[in-house]
Amino acid sequence: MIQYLDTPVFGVGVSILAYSIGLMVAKRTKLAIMNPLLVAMVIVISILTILGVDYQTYNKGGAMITFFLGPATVVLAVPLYRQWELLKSNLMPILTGIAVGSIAGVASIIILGRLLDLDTVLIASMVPKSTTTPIAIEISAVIGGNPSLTATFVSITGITGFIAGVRIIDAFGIRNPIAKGIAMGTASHAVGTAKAMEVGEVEGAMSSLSIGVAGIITVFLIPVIMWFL
Amino acid sequence: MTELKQLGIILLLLWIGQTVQGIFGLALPGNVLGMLLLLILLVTGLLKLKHVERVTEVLLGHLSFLFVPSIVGVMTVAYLFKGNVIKIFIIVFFSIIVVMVTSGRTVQWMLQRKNRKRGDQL
Repeated sequence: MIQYLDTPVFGVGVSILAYSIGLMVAKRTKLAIMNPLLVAMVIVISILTILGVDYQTYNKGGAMITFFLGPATVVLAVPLYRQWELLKSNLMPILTGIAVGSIAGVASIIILGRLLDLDTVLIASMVPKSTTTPIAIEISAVIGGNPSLTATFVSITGITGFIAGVRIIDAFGIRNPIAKGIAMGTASHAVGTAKAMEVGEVEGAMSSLSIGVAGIITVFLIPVIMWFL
Repeated sequence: MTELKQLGIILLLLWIGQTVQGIFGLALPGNVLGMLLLLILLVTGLLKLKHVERVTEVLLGHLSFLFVPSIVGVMTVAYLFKGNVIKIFIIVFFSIIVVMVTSGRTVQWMLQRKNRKRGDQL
């Protein structure tokens, strides 16, 4: 049986099946915790465990899907370009805000990680978690983290931002639509942006813009991060 | 232009990004360099939106699906989570608050200051 699963078709097929179920569950339950990605992860890991298939065999197909993260990152330039006018007319406040948020986020993770006595690999894997996955896993690999752990932290962060983001923003008196969008996108990338788009058009646009900008700023922080790790 | 040709353009930009990263040994990942390159081409008008619009829709429309294998990879490192689950959630939650409050308040404060200045001039 196992020998027939030793083909890229298996990895790709299982991923599509699991993600489709994830989408269905998310639609039916409408619960933020039932994120399609998390549901898909649980289903794929369960299938692999039940069939006794290891990750390497699954990843023959998985690597084909992961390959498309490269071009997907490149086209993140398109939503950024679509908001070019709004970005240009408020350039300084937006860039400063995203930079301050990204630096504070990275610092808070390193400081808390050290205080709680976490393993350096764990801390390094958490550092880029506010950025979008394709950028986060690249940063993680460079600074000595584990890209798979990082991918998990990124989605946990996104889902937490989706659930709690609006409450946090209200509680801390952030009322300006541009500021709201920047806060959502800088803290919780594409998943937070989905929530920001529900809140309003400007919020959604600013949040999607933050995904790319926060990613780039965090990339430029790499030398500083490596100094502190 | 067909999706296939558009994908070709994107892959070419990705390859240039990766090559530049390799040659100069930059800390900036090749895919991010490719993104910056595409942004520059769009802003300067050398590439039009219609040259990459359809492939963008396809790729970004399925963005979360593309993460599935990376996240499944956590099963190979699950042992690192052991005994750290609560600490990890504390850090995740606290750092989200830190990022949202610092970025959001900074933007709000700077926009208010900018608008007040503009008001003075009137």
